[in-house]
Amino acid sequence: MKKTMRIALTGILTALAIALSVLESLFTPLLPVGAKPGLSNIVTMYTAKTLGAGYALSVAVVKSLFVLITRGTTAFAMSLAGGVASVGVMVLLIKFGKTKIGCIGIGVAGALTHNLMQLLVSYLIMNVNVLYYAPALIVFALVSGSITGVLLHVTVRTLEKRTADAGINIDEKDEQ
Amino acid sequence: MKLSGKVDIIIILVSLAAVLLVMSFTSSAGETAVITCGGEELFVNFRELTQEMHYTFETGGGTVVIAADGTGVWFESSPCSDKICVNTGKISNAGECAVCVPCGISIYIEGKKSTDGMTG
Repeated sequence: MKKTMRIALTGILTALAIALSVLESLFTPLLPVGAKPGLSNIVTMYTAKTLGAGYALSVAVVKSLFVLITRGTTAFAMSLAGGVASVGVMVLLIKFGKTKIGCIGIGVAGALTHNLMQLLVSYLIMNVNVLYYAPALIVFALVSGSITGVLLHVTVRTLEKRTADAGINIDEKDEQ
Repeated sequence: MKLSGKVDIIIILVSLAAVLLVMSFTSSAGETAVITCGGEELFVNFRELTQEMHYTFETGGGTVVIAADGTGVWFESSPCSDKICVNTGKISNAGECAVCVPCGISIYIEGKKSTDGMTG
């Protein structure tokens, strides 16, 4: 796949990630302690898996910029830290855990990193006792990470089939 | 990519262990005592108290006195027969509670509520 096409695809995926995070913020008040299912994480995971680390990172950064515009600097700092760290962890896991790790593991690891980084940033900004929230956030990351992991698995399978049918090869090694 | 693998199970087990570890550490300082009596709630920010305060409640079981100071909250006296509430002693950590079942009154300690992890 050509680089131009990759960049265009990244743009579409970024828009999808933003749309998903807006969508889920509509029903966030239903959940305790500001927990979110992290649906946009599916997009970052998919990007990391199919396009590569740099593309996934740009999705996370652009999504944070959207948060900066719509929700201010505090939310931006938390979104950026959580997004970048979780992309980093997921990329490493995909790279080194090839056969031993599955979608659920990657989803859970990404959600864990995202939540814990946000907790760290909120500690740095507001200097309150955030450790109190850690257990709840970890448990929630396990649940939401598993859900997004399963959804990722389904997405990847479907899209791989579709793109193969259409004769497009998104596989990263294919470039250069 | 597979749906799940060996590493997934390790990740989940490690995080569950982390939950238990953190929970054992988070017997951390509470902020607010929530006294519930007959469906009504009284919030006491006991950390801000500089002297001992007494709160008297008229319950179905008689007059209950709850005391609080800067370090915690406790049942000072209760007309109940078993005195479990008074024997609970002073509570101050987030999540702790003291209950007087015969009189239908309880104290619950809440931690800080000012943070949430709400971003995209």
